[in-house]
Amino acid sequence: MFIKQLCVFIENKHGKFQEVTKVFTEYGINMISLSLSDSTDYGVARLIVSDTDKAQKALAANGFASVVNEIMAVKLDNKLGELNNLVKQLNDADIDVQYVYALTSGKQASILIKTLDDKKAEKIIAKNYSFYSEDEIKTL
Amino acid sequence: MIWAKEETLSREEIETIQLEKLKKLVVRMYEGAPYFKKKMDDMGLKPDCIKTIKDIQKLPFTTKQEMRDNYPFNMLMVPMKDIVRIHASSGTTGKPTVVAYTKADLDMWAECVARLAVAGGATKDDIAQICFGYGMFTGALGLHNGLEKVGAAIIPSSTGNTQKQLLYMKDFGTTLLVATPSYAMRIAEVAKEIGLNPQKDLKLKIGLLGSELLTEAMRTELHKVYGEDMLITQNYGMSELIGPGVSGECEYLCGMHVNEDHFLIEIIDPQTGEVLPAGEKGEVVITCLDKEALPLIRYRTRDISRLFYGKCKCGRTTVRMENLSGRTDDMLKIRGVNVFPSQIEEALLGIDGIGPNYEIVVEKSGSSDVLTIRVELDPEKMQDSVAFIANLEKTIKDKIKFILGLDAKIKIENPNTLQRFEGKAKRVRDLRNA
Repeated sequence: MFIKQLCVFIENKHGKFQEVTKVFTEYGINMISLSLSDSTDYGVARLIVSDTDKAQKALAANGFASVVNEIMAVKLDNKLGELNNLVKQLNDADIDVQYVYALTSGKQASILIKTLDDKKAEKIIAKNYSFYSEDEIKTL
Repeated sequence: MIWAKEETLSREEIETIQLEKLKKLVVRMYEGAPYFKKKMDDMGLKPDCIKTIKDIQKLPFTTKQEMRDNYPFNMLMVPMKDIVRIHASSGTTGKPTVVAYTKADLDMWAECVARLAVAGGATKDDIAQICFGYGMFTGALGLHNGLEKVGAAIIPSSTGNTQKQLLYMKDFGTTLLVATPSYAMRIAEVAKEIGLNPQKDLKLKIGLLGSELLTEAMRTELHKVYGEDMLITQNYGMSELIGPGVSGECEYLCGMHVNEDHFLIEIIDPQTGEVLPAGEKGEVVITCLDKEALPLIRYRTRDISRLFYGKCKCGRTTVRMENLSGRTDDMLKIRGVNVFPSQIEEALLGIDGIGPNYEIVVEKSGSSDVLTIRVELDPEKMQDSVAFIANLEKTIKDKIKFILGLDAKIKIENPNTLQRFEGKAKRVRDLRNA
């Protein structure tokens, strides 16, 4: 199962990231999870938000380039070795992880994960773990 | 369609007309223009030195500086009572250059513009929207009078308020657009923003673009937004000479046909002043053969081009000037390398992932020049990783290096970050002497 991820292009300039958070505040969009990747001059923020379509429109209206794609949100328990187990299963199946970021709350230590072969990864993960659905993740 | 029989004369017939007009012009100016007489006298020349058309090469050049020195009216050859219109260049680099027209000059101007408009596809059935700034600038009224002569219905919407421009365009059924290439691109961009598809919702089929250089890369971009079927031509002129009307492209897009019965064109080596053989690239020099108010002999335009004399498939026999490689005025010298902004534009516009707007910034860092090129990310090509941006940056950097041999800093920015222009785009910021 996949959910929508929003990726926003942000220049590494003073105040740019706050422009994004300001837009979300003004449009009533809640951030559920966030990961930033950056180089010297640019960054891409990957986000799970309460209303992806609305967020993308709001960003476009404020001059931000963004793209929506799909990502798996895997439910994991907050215990030692849990992520190691998951990643090992992918490695054993020759699937490379592209990026992972956390979705931690209380007893759960769930993750968002993107691999180079999402279709295959989904099948493998589904054997031992469960996913968040789009509706479910918005309740977090 | 061809507007005038003068566009299809044999070389011999054209040169006969030119020689006759040139002889009269030199006599008239020798007698009536003290600045010209002085130059002739200094060179030991008399008006009867013109025996053949080649003898024009003996005559002195006229420069923009002379026009400035004679500001505002000292170069006029007729009294003010015979002047019916005055225009001026923007004068961004000093006093404006002033040009004035008699009634006959305006008629000749409209005739010249009518020819290039028709070469660019215009007919009396067209609804022509003129998105050039009306005012002292020659572009708007030049195209206005020429298209009126053709019989097109004119919408003098001028520049600005692009949404209103689009409303006219849609509701009035505009078929012909007059604009700078960068404003034509801006109009398409705004159309998209307000949910209009230029190819479906507008009836545009002709673009007569001018007042700034139209690169082939920009023409390709414009076809992407306005459709492959739109005939997009450019035309050439400058206020000192007449405004638009010196030359224009036909549907075969193989150079701009010069209105040779009114403008005698030469290509010179800008360093030595020697006339270059046909086909060689150099500075465009133009003689206005029959303007009454402000004739010019061998005016140095500072534009770089070359000439083709072969017959065009359209049937016109007039000489064609190649689309400008750049104005010598626009040339930048960066770390010793000559750079035309049009070269950078050509490099950028083919690259997938960025939009059509850009800015070139040149700064001093210590004793070295730093070239920075700002571009905007195409939001439709956005991806989920920084690696994608880094790759895009490298692609641009490599292409610039390949074309110019220079390292450039590339700054990729969000859409709509760069300034937009309604008239001539200002895409270069040279901060080295600021």
